[in-house]
Amino acid sequence: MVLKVLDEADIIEDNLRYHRAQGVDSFVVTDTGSSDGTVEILERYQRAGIVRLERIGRSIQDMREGGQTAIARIAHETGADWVIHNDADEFWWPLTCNLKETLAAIPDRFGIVLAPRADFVVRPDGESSFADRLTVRERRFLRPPKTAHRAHPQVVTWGAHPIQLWVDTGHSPRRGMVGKPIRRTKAAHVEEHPLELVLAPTFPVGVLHFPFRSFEQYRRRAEIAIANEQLSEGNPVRTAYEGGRLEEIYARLTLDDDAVAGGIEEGWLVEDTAFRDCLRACPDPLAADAAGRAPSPCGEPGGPDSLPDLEADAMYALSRYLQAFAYKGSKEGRRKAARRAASGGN
Amino acid sequence: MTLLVRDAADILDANIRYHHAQGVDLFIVADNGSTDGSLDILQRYEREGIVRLERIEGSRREVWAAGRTRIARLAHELGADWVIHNDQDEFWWSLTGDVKETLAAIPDRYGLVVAPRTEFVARPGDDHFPERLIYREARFLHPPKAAHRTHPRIVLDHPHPTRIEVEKDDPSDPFSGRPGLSGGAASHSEQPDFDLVFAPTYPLRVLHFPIRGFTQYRERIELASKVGLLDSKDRQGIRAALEEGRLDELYADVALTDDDIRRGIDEGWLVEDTDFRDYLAACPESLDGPPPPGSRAWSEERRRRELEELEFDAMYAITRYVRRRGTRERQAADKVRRQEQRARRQPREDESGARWRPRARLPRPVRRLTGALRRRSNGRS
Repeated sequence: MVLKVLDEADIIEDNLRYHRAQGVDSFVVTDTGSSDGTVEILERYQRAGIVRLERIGRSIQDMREGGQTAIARIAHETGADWVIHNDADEFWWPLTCNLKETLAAIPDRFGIVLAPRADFVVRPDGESSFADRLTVRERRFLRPPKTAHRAHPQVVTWGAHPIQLWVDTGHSPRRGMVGKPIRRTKAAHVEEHPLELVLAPTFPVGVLHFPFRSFEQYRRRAEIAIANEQLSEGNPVRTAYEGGRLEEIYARLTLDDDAVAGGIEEGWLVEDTAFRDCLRACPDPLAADAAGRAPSPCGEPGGPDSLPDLEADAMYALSRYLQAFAYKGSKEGRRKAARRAASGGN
Repeated sequence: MTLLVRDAADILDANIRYHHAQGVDLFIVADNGSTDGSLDILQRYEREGIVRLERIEGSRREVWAAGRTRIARLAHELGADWVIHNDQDEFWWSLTGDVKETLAAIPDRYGLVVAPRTEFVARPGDDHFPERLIYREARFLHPPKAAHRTHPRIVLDHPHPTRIEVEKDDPSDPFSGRPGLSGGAASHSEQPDFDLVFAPTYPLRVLHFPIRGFTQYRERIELASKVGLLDSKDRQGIRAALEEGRLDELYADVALTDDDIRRGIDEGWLVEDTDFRDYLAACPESLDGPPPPGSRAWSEERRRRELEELEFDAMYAITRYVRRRGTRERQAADKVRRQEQRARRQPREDESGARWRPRARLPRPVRRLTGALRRRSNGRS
């Protein structure tokens, strides 16, 4: 599993503990400038041989420009069979058995698993941990999906989403399939080079995302987003931050019990305590008797029974990616047609 | 089923008879100026009540997208449940019965089926194509085709899965990514108006017979030349052969000899496939005759194996599309970032109206000299 972190002290240990119990052998972690104790936590796990801490990029931008590729390739060098691109606030939830077994069961000819993602909604602040307070999530996994892929020495990636990845085999990734028979002048074999890392047709893992866990943590996220120029001028969050009114935005994002009950009634929210219970049962990997694994989700909501729903959400994501393509294509097509008409040519 | 045809007399009858046997009820055919007897065939089937003939005038380029969209919407108006976007030289083969029952078995929540495509290779000779063309590429790696549920607002410029969409008022935001950083209140990420989700199963494949004999090849090249499809640089060779009357030489190169076929089968990229030939030969002359069994006659073991292979080829195509879209998106993002960086380097005006520059300017003669040197070195390189 590869992780890039920036001020994640409130959640990073739970993340390591949970995924360790799911069968993840090692974590390649890159820190982009934490100041809240995250690095100290990671160093403890590094001493235990669980984490390999890398200092690759100094910023989110560095990660995009080669950093993400670098950690994915380090994972390959360390002998990993699969690379899971993760964030500190995301938990990979396999529907049938544990994560390691799930990935091991993917047939050899496929190399990428697309994992649909759902958000847990923001709930009022409190003393207890995020997992205890945040037990309501969106029913469907319609957020941009995440990726796990077989480790590969030539992988190129600039993010953690399935469309942000290709394998550098010296051929343009934009090279498509061979169409247009009329162009041919020879009886040649037209099959393309073998395509590395083909998407798997099954979708056995969902990603549980806990983006906002307390106001303090939300404020820090907004700060980071502004510092990295992710929020342009005039963005309401940036305006509120600069005007000292970020609490108002956070209050609007927070769902109280009534809002939660309403969302469940409308069908777009569900209560999900299976993750909380699972996390509680995961052993501390630094403890002397660290052997143990996450309980199987069988019999839980979000267990094997929800495979068809997760499949539908994954196909939704793929369709969205490709139909946004159609939209752009048809826009370009219309523009070209207009240009042709304007020039009077045909 | 929708078809956009021009001069397809050698194959049109086979196409309609074949797909009628596969359960297709209605063919909406847009004819773009055929002069070779295609219209006679279409009018005959129109009288039988299974063809609806539309005539679309204008150059191929103009009618391509608009014509496809028009006939796809017409399919909805005429009460069809699924639209299969087809070409005259393509035959949809179901691995699980016939095409109609296969589409009927797609769960309601899915609206589009990706159908991987293969090609039957060109062979010497000029007689009826199904008996001669019995070797095809083993894998289905040509751009796939699509069938989808009918929709009143469908838009497409090409019958490939990534070129079909439902017209929407705000199609720009495919996902709600960044939660909470857009300033909105807690809300839904779901977009209920999203139609035509790709089905996760791949029970249909498309058999493509692009080059069927020398006569058809010559006619096709001549037509392509007439509508300007041979103007681009990579087709100069074909154009020259046409102008110099050497098309037969070119065809001899394009067609595979018996030796080529043997080698291709040994190397594993070609296979013999007589299923289609036999199916077509068994299609009844009269439209209400009993259809041949097709893949129903397959053993369950064979069906499972072929479905598995087709699924891999479908995922190959989808992966290629996804990757192409991703790299394209990245290039666009990089371009924007470079522009922003450039804009930041440009001199800005401060509040007093004075120009602000990151570096002190060199005196004018020095600037002139360095500028000239730079231009010279650029000119040399």
